[in-house]
Amino acid sequence: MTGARDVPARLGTPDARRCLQLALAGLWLLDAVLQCQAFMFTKGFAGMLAAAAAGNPGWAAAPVLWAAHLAGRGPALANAGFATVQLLIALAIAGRPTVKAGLAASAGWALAVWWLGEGLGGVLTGGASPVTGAPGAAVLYALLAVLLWPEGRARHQEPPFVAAGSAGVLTTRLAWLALWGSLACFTLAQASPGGLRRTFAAMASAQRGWISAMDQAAAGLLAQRGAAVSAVLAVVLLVIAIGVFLPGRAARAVLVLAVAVAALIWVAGENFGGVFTGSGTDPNSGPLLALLAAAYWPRVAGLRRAGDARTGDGRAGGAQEPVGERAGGERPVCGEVAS
Amino acid sequence: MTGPGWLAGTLAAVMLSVAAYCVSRLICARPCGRTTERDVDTVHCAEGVAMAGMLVPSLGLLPGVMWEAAFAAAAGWFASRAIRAHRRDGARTPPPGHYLPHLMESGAMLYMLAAVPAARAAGATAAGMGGPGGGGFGAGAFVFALFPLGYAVWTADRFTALRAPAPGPPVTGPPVTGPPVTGPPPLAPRLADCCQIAVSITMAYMLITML
Repeated sequence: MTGARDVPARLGTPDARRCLQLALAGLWLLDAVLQCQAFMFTKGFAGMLAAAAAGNPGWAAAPVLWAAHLAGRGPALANAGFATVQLLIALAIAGRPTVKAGLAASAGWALAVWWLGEGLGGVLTGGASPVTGAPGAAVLYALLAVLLWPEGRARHQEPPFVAAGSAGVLTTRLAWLALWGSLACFTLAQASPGGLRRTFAAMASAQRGWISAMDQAAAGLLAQRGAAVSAVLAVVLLVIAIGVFLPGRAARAVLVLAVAVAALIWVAGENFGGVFTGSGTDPNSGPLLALLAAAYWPRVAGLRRAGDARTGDGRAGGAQEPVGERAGGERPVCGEVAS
Repeated sequence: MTGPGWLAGTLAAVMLSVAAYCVSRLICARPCGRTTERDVDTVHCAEGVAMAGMLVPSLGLLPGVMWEAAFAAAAGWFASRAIRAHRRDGARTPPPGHYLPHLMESGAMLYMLAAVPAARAAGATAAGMGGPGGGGFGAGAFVFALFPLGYAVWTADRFTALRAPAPGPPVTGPPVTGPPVTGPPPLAPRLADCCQIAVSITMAYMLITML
């Protein structure tokens, strides 16, 4: 076969924003495939949706129950529809001419799923915990769709990180602060001596094999230490929340910490989003938090400017070359941002 | 597979269509004065037929051990091509990474062929108990499923980037640049990439249903 595979040398490497968009498309595609598991075509899926209403106030629970009722009347048809929408969103984001439509659909669909499928992530139930996926994976899809929106025109000065390109530096940093700050608040609200132990013990019963054993071991380890561990986790989450306001290298260190915490939450807390149970509809919040951290990763050019300014070599007034007009028309690529 | 029958049937039909299309590419490329990658077409044809047989057992043409031998040979072929490309590192040869997706897909096919009999048995047990779950193959199937998903997304990005250049600057990503391609043009590249995306998504679906 030929096509894109035959001519990779003719194509430039996607820039950092495009790489993150493709990662988001990949997650949507994974969601679509997970949505096609056998369990999702049964009434069990509708029951899972209805369970998201538990603990929510009436105005938030009523639409969830309505959606669950609707899905229960024709589970196969409803689920096929859900999977198709997710597949189309993934392909739209992956296609360059349709990326804006894909991201817009991603934001809209994700917000609908956040309410109707996840019960607003449980944030109104008083039982939300970042360890189990609060504030909900779907709202993170919506946030990423906004932050990864394509830049309409070449800027004179490159934004310091990818996420800042669409909504501005201060707005995106405040969004990060609100997200991770809320995670810290949820953690503190759930802090109790046996809270985390009970959470892990409950998860162990839903898993099988080595994941169940891991949960049981974690529950044993956290017995009577739940409050202390929650307090430490809350402090770490607060450090991450304010980390994006720090200078370049310190911000990088905090973002590495954010990725590590996201990985820990995904493996130990979310059990890989429950994908090994046969009823996981998405990989949950862990990978999305890591993707968000990548969107806030300081660009090399931004760090260089900061260093120049400190040593007095900076071109005050921002005399940098416009993006896309550097030698050879090169743009920062995935590897450059990740370096 | 433990998914619904109508979905398996639909995907099997798509896979057989892909296999038939790949055969037509192998036959038509030279008379049409176009180029095609014969090894990739051949392995996609084999994958299409083999996956259709796994999705709908009545479509199985060959015993599993023969498919395993075929995909082991395919994996070896693409591994050797990747190594040769790496050693040559010539400007006109595709980079080693060009062959890795096909190597991984051949590996995923081997994994599925080894796992399908056990997955069917476990799926039947789970269905009999009325609970969720497939074959319980866990981490291996999940890791193998992630790769074709990523490659499908990558292919979609690449082939939409091959469109004719627009008058203005691109909305996102770099422009299509580089040396002009010499020699005969490729045969229906976008359709070929659609087939690649279909194969990748179907493969990922089959692996996920083994979880």
